[in-house]
Amino acid sequence: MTTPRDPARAADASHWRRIRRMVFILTVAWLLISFVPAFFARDLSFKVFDAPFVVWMAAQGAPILYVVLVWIAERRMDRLDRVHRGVDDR
Amino acid sequence: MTAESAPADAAALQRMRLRRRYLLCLVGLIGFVGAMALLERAGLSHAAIAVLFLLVPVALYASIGLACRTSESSQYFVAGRSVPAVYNGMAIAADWMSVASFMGLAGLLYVNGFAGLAYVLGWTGGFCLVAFYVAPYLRRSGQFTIPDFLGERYGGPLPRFVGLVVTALCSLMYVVAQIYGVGLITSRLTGLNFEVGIFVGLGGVLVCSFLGGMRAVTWTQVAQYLILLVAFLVPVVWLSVKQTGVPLPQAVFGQQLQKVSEHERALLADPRERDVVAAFQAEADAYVAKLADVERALAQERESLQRRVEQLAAAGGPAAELRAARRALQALPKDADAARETWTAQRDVSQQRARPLAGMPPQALPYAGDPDGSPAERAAFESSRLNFLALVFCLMAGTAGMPHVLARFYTTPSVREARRSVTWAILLIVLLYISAPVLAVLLKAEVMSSVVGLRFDALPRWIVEWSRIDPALVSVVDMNRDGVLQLGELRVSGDVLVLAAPEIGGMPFVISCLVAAGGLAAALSTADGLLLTIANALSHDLYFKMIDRNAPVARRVALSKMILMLFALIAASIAIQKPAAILLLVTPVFSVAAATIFPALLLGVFWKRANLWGASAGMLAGLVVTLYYMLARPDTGGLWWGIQPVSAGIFGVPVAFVVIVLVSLLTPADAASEAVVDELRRPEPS
Repeated sequence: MTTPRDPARAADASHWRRIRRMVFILTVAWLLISFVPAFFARDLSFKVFDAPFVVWMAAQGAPILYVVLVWIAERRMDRLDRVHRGVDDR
Repeated sequence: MTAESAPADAAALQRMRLRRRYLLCLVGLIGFVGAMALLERAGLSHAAIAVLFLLVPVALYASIGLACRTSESSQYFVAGRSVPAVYNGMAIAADWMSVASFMGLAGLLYVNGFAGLAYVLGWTGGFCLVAFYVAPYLRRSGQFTIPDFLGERYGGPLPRFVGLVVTALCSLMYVVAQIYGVGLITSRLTGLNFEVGIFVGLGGVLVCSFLGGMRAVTWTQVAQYLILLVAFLVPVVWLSVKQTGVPLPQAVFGQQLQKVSEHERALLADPRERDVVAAFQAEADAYVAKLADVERALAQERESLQRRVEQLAAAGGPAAELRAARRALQALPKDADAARETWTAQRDVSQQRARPLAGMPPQALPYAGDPDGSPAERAAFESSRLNFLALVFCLMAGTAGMPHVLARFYTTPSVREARRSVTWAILLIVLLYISAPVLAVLLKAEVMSSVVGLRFDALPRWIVEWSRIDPALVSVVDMNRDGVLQLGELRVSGDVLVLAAPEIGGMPFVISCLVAAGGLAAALSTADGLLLTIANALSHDLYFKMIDRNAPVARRVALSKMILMLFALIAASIAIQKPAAILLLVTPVFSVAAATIFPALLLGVFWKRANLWGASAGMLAGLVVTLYYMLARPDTGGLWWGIQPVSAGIFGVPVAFVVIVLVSLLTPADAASEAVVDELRRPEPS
């Protein structure tokens, strides 16, 4: 009875596992970008593009990195959805 | 043509048509500004140009609103779920960037330096949370509003009701700030007074959201995004070219920041600036002395002013002096209590200004205090760093719980498009947010190099005109009586800096108007989205889902329109009181959203076991803790770890998470809602 359902369930579970792993990794990256430079603002005194590193990071670097993170998440979720449908099994 | 490709063709056709329309809109904007510049040269009066800049964009929004008018429920509530990712991205960006971003942010960065960057980080980084945890699952659920999602996920009216209270509360607080901004801009553009300005602007909000709901608001917001982005970037690029010759302002950020730091060092060493600081300190000390015995000081002051009026009247002195003395007498506080209040406020202002660099921290220095200094300096440093990080966190988590933005993810045709629209949204938002710090630095360089040191009889027009509108916005006073403007003698409120930027940079009048029109677009687009969110929550979630399940569609839409009107009026009547600086109004909302909606959404998808009771209790606990810390703590004294009340979410968020988990574990699991979660996690069927 359950045989036709089981592979589908397994596929759902593995899809969700991969999503969760991706979200975890990206969240760690987000935490590092957001809070670590700001915490050590007075210690990281070198300059990037003539501005103190942390000032540049908060004003330009971090926002640009956020765009990249969101873009990675979008691409990766698309890929995982395709894998789940069996269209693309990389 | 096969049956399958027909919808694809229709979508392609829709995209082509949209692209053509908005390109036309952009070209029209540039043509309009050009035409106005020519008319200005030809001698059209400034007043007429300003009114045209107010009316033409509002007419554009109104005609988009009219063209998209609808009473059909799926169109009214979620724009027929047919908005392509790029356009949803633009609409989200316009929804997101309110007057707080457009006018408040650069001003805050100018006044508070590094501390303002918390907003840049928070208001961009929050979209990471939206992309990772929220947006795909909201669209996957296929609901209409945020309370709707909570109701369906947790399977009961209680989370829906709590969600709806929070949604209405957040959106109402937020919309007041927008309407205040609208009033500020229209009164500047037209010379009407602030109160009339508010109601003129309100008309602009209502024509869009009232007629066509989400559909009209979406397509208006796309146009508003284009206008506000152009309006923000033009003065930044102009100033950048003027100061450095480089047309890419982001590239000269560091270089100009160094220039500002050099100016700051020179000003700190300037003896005239020190004189100003000493003069303000003396003024503050005088208030302290008066406050020591209020009754006597008030009586003395009244007597001396009366004597002066009598003397002037008897001697037939200059009429202006007599008038000034009479006015001073009238402006005297009525009684001791009023006097104590006024003088305390004035003492604080003088104390505030009795600091080097007009009380502004050095632009390139992160945090106040000094980690290697005296214990007091160390404490100041620790507290300033902690508050910065806490604010960043609250703004980010609040972004991922802000109902009016999240509701936009329901409008895309598919989950995939919803995800793509987050990428577009953050890209389009970052364009403005990385320009705001540059604008602040360029303006500071401009003020320090070419405004400071001017003679008082040759002050630039912007100082004269803005201080006439409201001295709280811009004021100058020759404290050390040398007839020359020092930095310490100029006070500029952060809220007007962006609007005044074109004048500060010596740009033509049309650019000033363009910036004002951009600010208006930012305020109107956000106000539209917010009012619609409140109205939809009340008519869809409260009335339709909880009171009358059989309500016909037409009645729901009509009810939503009525609620919208009502809340617009409530918000306007609060905004008329000129409550506080724009950012002060907006920031607490993020703490509230962070501590309520965000945890319920995140755990709703990522922790299956979370149930009805957990979510309701958690949201309530988060709300209570946040509001308690924000409203009650400052008065009863004792901040926790020195965290400012606006960042109350730093306590509310963990409390909400913990309560959701504990209460869910203590109450029975709910198989039906766990099945809902499985469905949310499963990819959308193709």
